[in-house]
Order: sequence, then C-alpha cells, then structure tokens
Amino acid sequence: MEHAGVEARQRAGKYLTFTLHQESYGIDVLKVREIIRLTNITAVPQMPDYVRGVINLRGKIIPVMDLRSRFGFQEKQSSEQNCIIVVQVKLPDGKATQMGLVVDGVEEVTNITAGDIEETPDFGSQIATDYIVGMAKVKGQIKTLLDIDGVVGADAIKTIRQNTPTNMAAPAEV
Amino acid sequence: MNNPNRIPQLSTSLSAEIKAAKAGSNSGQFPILDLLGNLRDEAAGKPALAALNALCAKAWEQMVTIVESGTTFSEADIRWLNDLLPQVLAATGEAPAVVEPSKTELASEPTPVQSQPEAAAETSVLDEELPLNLNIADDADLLLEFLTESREHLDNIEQGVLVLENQPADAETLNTIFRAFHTFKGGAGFLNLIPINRLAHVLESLLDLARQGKLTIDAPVIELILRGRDVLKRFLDEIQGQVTGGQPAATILIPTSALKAEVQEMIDNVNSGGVPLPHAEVSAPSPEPTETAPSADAIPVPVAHETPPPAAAPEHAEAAAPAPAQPAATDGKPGAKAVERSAMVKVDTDKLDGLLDLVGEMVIAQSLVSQDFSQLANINPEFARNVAQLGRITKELQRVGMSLRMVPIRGVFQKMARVARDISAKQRKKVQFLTSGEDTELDRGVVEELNDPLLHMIRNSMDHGIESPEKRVAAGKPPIGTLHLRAYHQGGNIVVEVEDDGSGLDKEKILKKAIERGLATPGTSLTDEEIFGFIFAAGFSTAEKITDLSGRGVGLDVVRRNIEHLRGRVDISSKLGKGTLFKITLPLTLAIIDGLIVKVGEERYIIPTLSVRESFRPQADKISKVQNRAEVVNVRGQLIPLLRLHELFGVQPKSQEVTDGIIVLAQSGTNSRCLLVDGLLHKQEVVIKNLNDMMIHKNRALAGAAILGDGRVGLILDVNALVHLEKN
Repeated sequence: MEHAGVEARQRAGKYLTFTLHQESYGIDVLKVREIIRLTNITAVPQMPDYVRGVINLRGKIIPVMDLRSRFGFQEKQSSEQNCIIVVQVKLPDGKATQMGLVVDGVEEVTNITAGDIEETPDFGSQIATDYIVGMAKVKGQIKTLLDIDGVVGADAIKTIRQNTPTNMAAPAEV
Repeated sequence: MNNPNRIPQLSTSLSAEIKAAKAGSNSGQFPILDLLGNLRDEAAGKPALAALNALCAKAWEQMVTIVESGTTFSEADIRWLNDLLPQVLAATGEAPAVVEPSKTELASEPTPVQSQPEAAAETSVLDEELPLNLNIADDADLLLEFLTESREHLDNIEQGVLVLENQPADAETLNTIFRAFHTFKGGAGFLNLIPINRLAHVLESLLDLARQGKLTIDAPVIELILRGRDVLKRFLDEIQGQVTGGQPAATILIPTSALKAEVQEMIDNVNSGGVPLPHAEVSAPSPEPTETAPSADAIPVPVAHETPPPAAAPEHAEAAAPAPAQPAATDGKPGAKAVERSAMVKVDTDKLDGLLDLVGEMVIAQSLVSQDFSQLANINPEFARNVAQLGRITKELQRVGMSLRMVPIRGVFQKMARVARDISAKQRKKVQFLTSGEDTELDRGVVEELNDPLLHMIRNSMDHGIESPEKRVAAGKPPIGTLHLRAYHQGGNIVVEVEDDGSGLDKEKILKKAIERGLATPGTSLTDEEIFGFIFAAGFSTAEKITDLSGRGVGLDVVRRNIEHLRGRVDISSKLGKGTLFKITLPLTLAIIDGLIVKVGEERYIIPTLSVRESFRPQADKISKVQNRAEVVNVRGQLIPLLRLHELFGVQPKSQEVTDGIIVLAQSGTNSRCLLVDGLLHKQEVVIKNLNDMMIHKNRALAGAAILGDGRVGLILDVNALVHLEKN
C-alpha cells in the first residue's frame, strides 16, 4: 500500500456495494457481470471451505465462493436477501474467468470520489490487507473497497491448488 | 475501363512516382507496381497499344520481383526505372517520342529486363542466412492470424504434393499449391518476415514454371517442395512459440539459403535449358529420377483452362504477343480465392462453445416446459401442437449445434500419408499407403489428439511391421508392403484402424519378454489380447533388441495413454507373418459421454458408463476388512478394493452399512475399484464441461461436470484417477 496515495484518483469510480454480516463492501462495478438469486450449488469435494461449489449459469459452469467464509465470518443461515454476484476476474496467469460470490445482500451502485477514499490502515497481522483497495466513507458509512482479483485470485487460488486430495489441511489464512 | 483517357493520367502518375523513387528506400514500390499493372490492362486488347501492353507487362513482372524481395530499391532498380519511363511514355504515344520505340528495340528490351530479376534472385540466394526478428508487441494479432492461415496453407501444400506425386499433371492441384505459397509469401512480406517471404518466393517461382508447363513435377521437385514446406513449418513453430508459447523473443535463425539455392538452381536449369517443354533437360540435372518419375505422357502440365495456352516461349516472342501467362494467371487468382472464402466462416471456438452451452440450456428449459405442460389439466390442442413443435426444433438445433464441432479426419490422414512417405524413403521399404473413410467426421478436439498416437502407430508399422522387399519376397508376399488407414462409424463410435501386411506380432516372444520383465507369471494362460496388451507397457521392448520384436512398443505406451485420455480403446489383432491390425475405438465426440448417475447422500455424481463393468448390491459375507482399515470385495473370486465415495468426498451418506448401498465396479485399464454409492438413479448422455480449471486443478478424482436434466450441476468422476488413488 506504499504508493497507494498516488493511485487514489484511479481508484475513484463506480462501485457495487454489498453487505456481509452488517459490514459494507464495495467492488469495482466494471468487474460485475450480473447478480443472480442464490440457486442450487453443487458442492465440490476437497475444496477449501469458502468454495461453496459450482453452479450452472445458463449452460456455463462457474465456481462460487462464499465471501462470508472467505473473510472468516460465522456461517449464517441463507436468507431471501442472499444472492450471487457474478464477477469477471483475472487469474494470476492472465486468463479471465467468471466466478460467483455469495454475499448477504446487494446494496447499490455508488459513485465514490477520490476524496472519499482513505488509505487502508495497518491492521497489523490481524487482517490481510493485500486485497483491500481502500476504505471509503459514503454517507457516514465506511465501506471496504475490495480488489476482487486479489480476493479470488492469487493466494486463494494457490490455496485451492494446494488442496490436493491428499492434502486437505490448510484452509485459507484469513 | 476502356476509357483511353486513363492512359495519359496513369503515365503522368507513373513518371511522378519514378522520379520520386530513390535507391535505399522502398517508398513508391507499390504505386509503381500498381500503375504498371493498370497501364498494361488499359493497353490490353488494343492493337495500337500492343507495344505498351507488352512493355508494361514485362516491367510489371520485374516490379513484382522487386516488391516481393522485400528490399528497398537498389541503384540498378532505379536506373532501370528511369530507363523504362521514356519508353513507356513513348509507347503511350502521348509524350513526344524521345526515343523512337521501334519494334526491334522493344523486342530486344525484354532481354536486359529478364536478366535482371535473375541477377537479383541470384544475389538474394547467396545472401547470408537471414535472421528473423519478430515485432510481437505490435504485430501479435496479425502474426496469430498469419500463423493460422499459414498452417492451412502448409496443409494444402502437403496434401497437394501427395496428389501431384501420383498425378503430376493435375493443374487444379498445382494451382492450389502455387496459391498457397503465393499467399504465404504475401503474408510474410506484409509482416516483414523476410526469410519466409524469400523462401516462399523461390518455391512459388518453381511452381510457376510447372504451371507454365516448363517443369515436370517429378520426385526431386517434390522433395524440394516438401523440404521447403518443412522449413516454413519450422519458422511457424518458432513464431508460434514466441507469440503464444511464452518463449522469450529471440532472433529466429533457420538456415534457408542452401535450400533456396537448390530451388534456384532447378529454376535456372529450367530457364536455361531451353524453354519449350525441355523434359530431357529438366530431369537430367535432377539427381536420380526415382521410380515415382511420371510416365512420359504426363510431361506437358496443362495450365488452368481459363488461361490461353501458355504460349511456349512468351519471353522471347515478339513484343506484340499477348500478355504472358503469369500475369493472366495472377489476375485469375482473386476470383478463385473468393469462391473458397465464401464457403467457410472461421469462428472463434469460444463463441461456438458459448452457443452450444446455450443450446444445452434450451434443451433443458424445453424439457422442463413440456414436463410442466403435460401436467396441465385442460390442454388446449393448439398449445399442445406448439409445444411439440418447439420440442422438435430444439432437438434439431441441438443436433446441428453438435455437428458444428465435427471435422473430417482427412487432415490427420494426410499428415500420416506424408509420414509414411518419408519413412519409406528413408528406410528403402516400399510401401503403398492407402486410406479410406477420410470424410468420417469427429470432434475437432479428438482429431487433434489423434495425431500423436497415429503417428506412433504408423511409424511402428513402417519400422517394425513391414519387412524389406527382399524379406517380403522370400516370405512369398508382394515386394511392396501395404499400410491401410481406415476410419468408419460403428455403433455410436468412431473406429480408426491401422493395418499393415507386415511380419505381425510374435506372441511367444512377447510373452517371454513379459515374463522376463515380471509383467506376467509363467504358466498362466493368457488370451491373445492380453499378450498383445503387453506391448503397450512403457518401454516394453527397448530393454534389448530381439530381432523382429525390437522396437515394437516404443511409443506405444504413449498411444495407449493418449487414446485412453480420449476415452477410447486400442485393440490389436495380429497374425505372425501376415500382419497387424491396430483398432482404435473412440467416442464420437469429446463433448458427450454416456453417464451412470449415482446418488451419494444428497449429491449426485456421474460415472462414465464405459468404465462401469457391473453394479450390484453387496452381501455382507463378500466384504472383508484388512487391518481393520482397507476393505476388499470378493467379486466372483477376484478381490477388489472397496472405495466408499462418501468418505472420499466427505458427504453424509444415507447409510453407513455397505449392504444398504450399491457397489459399482469401475475399471480403467487393468485396475478396478468397487465404488460404494447409495443408489443408482439413471443413465443419461451428458455434455461434459471442464470444471473451471482453477478449481479442479489437481482434484484428480473429478473429470469434469455436466448439467443434469433439472439444470443442476453434476460432477463427473474420473475413474482412472479413482482406481489409482493411493490408499490413505
């Protein structure tokens, strides 16, 4: 986050905000493909907890990640509000792929200006901040802006890949 | 077009361009070429302007050489252009004649012009090996397009050459190859791939001679063309590696000058050896006219029908002669190409897969609709008809959609023909290579994957199956061996066969070897099939050489693996001394499998039906525990390890009792496992989808996923991985 100050202006833009356990998060709206109802998810064995499984998105099979468990929240009963945000993410190898994110509820698309964005404070080792772009103050509420590629990519994928059938230990270190 | 007023305009532009042209620069090359071509066409068919026509046609050809050499104007070029200009102006009759272009002068003119391209070509041949540097940053897309197209051209060339080998006079094929080289050259020139451009250029020139009937396509010529094709392919491979394969950008240096020189030599031989049909002169310099040399009646290669007879010696003929064959044929090209193009559309496979995904969804949605509909109480007959019609259309759409991915196997067969040809030349074995069923269609993915296994099998058959002519005669067989490659449909599968009439497999020797290697125990009785199966074991025959057996099996383990990867099967039948038949059975498409859908707890899994040997409800006394952990099932005396799928996948089963469940006996290769599931649901053909590779990576128990009848996703088990799963 060292050179983040310079990039504040680049980070300004439209964000889709959603809730997870009473906290508010935002992701770059350009990454969002669509928002769908929570449908039947087929569990895939031997995946880390936060990978809920796969769904059929109009004939395409895409993986679904549960952001609650990704961030270490308590499992919560699914409700009507739950939905899947389908995002286009870039894998570390440069390929683009679609992926679903289960969230508690979608709020709105909001315009966040550079002035609204604060640097991510250093939480020490408590929280991994690699995939946090910054914190935004919108209408008195703090929203955590996520770099979605970082959330689903990089270390998450590494963790998944390490989870071979014979090595099921290490869940995500969040 | 026939407006005579264009000529002054054209000649004015031409003189402006020529005056602007400078040595060491390539600006103006294309305009000059274009203007000369236009002038030539304008003057064509007008007796008064015959001189202009001939002059421009000559000059045009010269310009083509300059442009296609990909270099800048040389001093000589500029001098030539400046000499040319007054002649052209004089011939148009517009400018006051500075030099009176008498007929004799014109007639003598071609000679210096003619000598120049040769001189130019000569120097280019003697060039140092040309390095090739790619500008990947700017040209990546263009390069990719060039690669795709070029590979097609290479295939066309290869295929065409093999036809020419048997029918040297086939004008159509000759034109195809010529066009392929020509387009190649154009593309390479455009992208500034100079070595490729130059090589394609000389090869094109060679073929052009053949087109004009001055050169007979015989074995040495074919050899040259094929070698040229191979070098071009190496270039393409290198470029591909750098553009897509992530290889570091580096200068590509593949020697071409020796080959170019050889081709040039052949061209020069033809040109100098007297122009009208010099068969004797042509074939004389060629090293050794082999048995494939064409019969005498095939010498004059007829040129494409639309061009007038190629006027035996246009160059040296009177200036008033009609335009030489070359430009005319060149003019004919765009038309022919347009026809080819209109028949095909190239589509990105991603788009195609997207379409197929949607079609699959539509089939599901349609079946849901008609299911709901059939439960409706009062049915409107009109509505019923419409629903039925929708169902029919959906099915048809699915069928057509599936066929989109299918391509004929022809391409692979042609490659194999080439391989066979090369090996037979190398090994001095005479082999007749036959193919049948080239039009059999199968999934594009399968066709691509089939290449390697077939290659190994052909090599194997040529190398170890077919004997030398002497041996064959001694064995009472015809001296020329036969290798037959076949493809046909058989009950929902595609069968590809490689059959040779060679020495066959020696069961005794194989068995002996297998026992030596501990693959078989002495004394057990094995079926032929089982014995032949040993040759697929990795490195089976490489340990030591045993006469006829030596090498049999090299690469065959690859064959087996690749074919199994395609969810296919290889069978061998062989008779000692009579020959061997490899039979590959493949599914029609990689995209669809017949699956057995099983239930484990709340989850459903799909097991490919091909790998299921049987399923049964187990009896308690048939199950034994080993060290209180591993379990085995006694299946008619055979002990097979039991794998509880719910344990493997961490699913809550309906019942922990083995006797409450169903055992599916799954087999891959020689290994089997008993898979315990809660129940069998039904059989269904499913469309395989790759699980997003980031997820399934290394999760080897799963082969993919499929969308089931209710729109949910079912996971497909990888039986091969399951049967080899480590016991832990």
